[in-house]
Amino acid sequence: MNRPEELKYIRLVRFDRTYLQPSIEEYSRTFRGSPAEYEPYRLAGAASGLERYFLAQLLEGYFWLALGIALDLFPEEAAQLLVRQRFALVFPELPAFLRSWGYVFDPELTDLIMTAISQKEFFVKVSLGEFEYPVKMAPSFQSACLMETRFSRDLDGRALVTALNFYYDDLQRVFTRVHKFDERVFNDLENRLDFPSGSIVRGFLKLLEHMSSFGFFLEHLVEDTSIELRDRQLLQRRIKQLCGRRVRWGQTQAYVPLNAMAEHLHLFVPHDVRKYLNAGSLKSEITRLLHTWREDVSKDQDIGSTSHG
Amino acid sequence: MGHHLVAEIPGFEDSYGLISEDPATAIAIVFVHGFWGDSYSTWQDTQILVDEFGQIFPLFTESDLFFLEYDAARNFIGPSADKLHHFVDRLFPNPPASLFSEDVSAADWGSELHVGPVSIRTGPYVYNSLILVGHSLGAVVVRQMILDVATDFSEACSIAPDKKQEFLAQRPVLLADLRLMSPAHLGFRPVGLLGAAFSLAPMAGLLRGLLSFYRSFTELDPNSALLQSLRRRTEEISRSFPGLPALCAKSLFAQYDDLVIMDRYDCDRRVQYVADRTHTTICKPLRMYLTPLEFIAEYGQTYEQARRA
Repeated sequence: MNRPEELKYIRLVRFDRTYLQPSIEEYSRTFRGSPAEYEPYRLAGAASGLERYFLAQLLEGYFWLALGIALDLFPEEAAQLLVRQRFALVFPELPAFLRSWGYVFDPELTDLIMTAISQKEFFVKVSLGEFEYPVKMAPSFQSACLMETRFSRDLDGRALVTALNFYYDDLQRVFTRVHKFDERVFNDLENRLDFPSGSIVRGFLKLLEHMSSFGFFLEHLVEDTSIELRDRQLLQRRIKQLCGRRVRWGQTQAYVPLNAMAEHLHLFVPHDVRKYLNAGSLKSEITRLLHTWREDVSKDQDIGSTSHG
Repeated sequence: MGHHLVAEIPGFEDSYGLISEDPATAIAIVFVHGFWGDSYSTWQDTQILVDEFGQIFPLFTESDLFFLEYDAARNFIGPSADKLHHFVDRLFPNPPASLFSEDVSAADWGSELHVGPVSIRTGPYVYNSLILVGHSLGAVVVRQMILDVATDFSEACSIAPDKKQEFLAQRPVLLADLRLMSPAHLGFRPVGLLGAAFSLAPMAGLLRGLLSFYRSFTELDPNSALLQSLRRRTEEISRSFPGLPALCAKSLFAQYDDLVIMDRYDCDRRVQYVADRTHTTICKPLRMYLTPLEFIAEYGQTYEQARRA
């Protein structure tokens, strides 16, 4: 086997170990493991929320694999075996999951997995656009994947993603029920979903950092003149699609709770520190970031409606 | 274009390595983020540009890069330095073989493939040089770690002066090259208190720091016992052992750094300044701003000369 082939196998093994395997293990352990061990989740009624979170995470892993194959960075035959191993349990559950929660993914990706399910093939060749010089994009793909893997491991980030993606109504109610922001109302929601106190707000901060890093990444990906323009745009589009459920909330309904959190975030800062804070500038910085994404996504949708990958 | 592949570092969650496929690799570069940073975003897009600009900066092609993740805000500087020491010890000069290879057949999906162990490059895996790169608080953590080792070395030499070379060989980290970007080794000097800091990205990272009651922040006061002792003892030991590389850091500052006092220790090398950058952007290379890579790669010229000699 030549060296480039070896590198493909190494990438695949490591992607599995850091992304897919932990996701499937969390999914299986939490909801198919010992009931006694995970009783708190069940009692709090949060099991279904986390179950959805991990299923969505697994699906995202599947799409990363598909992109890695399109970029010729993963060995296709081995990826087939890997998917068969990791997804055998969850494939039958996916149609029901996607019927209810498919909106968290880009429609193109949902189509991809539904085609795979209907054809009873773990991987199907579906044209999502071909890269002209895929090998040049290995560092960018790797960097984006690293960024996403790190965010997916963050427990607070999980709390926010779960609440926003799957408990949006509850989150929204928090803001409509109170005229003045009340930390206790937030804590009630967290208790109900069995997240540790403060995790949704901490997750929000984590998300802001992630949005900032992700924006930096995308902005500079487009500037990379060493890659063909078409390839750059296609990679940018694919990566945005993949990470959509995390970072493209600016445009979606989730903008409302995120913006409301920005409004009141300073209340979570300890009192002795709050005197140093300029709450106005803090809020404006955060809303600026949210707005940037909102505008960015609008732009993408305009582009997407005229040219589709 | 040579590539680096991501590797997990056993025992150091969220830290990672970028392993070069070049068989001539013999340098380890360790990156230590600062107060508001993390192992990804502080150094963002270094992860991509070291490959893209590998021909201009061959040092990176012949180097493995390691990015330490640690709880910069919540910990005091001492424990962070201790963690760095363990991290460096784990990697330099003899890194674990798991960074470089994978056994595909050992994966639960890999047995059908009949693919044995694959590796990023051929061994032996030994480094002969170490570069420590620190940003802001990370620079203080680096210096504290070096001082701890140097103090130990100095004490050993005072007991058995004739074994100096032997003691040095046991502590190869003292031969490391230190590259510090906006180091906070003389203290934190926020202009306009923390309010001004909010104009700097990432604001969420700062908030996270505040939420964790800024332990290390208090140690960055210019009058803190820790910073004063760090400087005094580093300079003292440097006087006793002139030319010990790890005590003579080289610093790069943003021309208008609003957050730290810009100066060097007496034993340090000449300070460099860079225009149009802030405290947080100084360490993030762009295609139009390659100074961070140049600043590190400068070592490569010396290294190359030494190797030729």
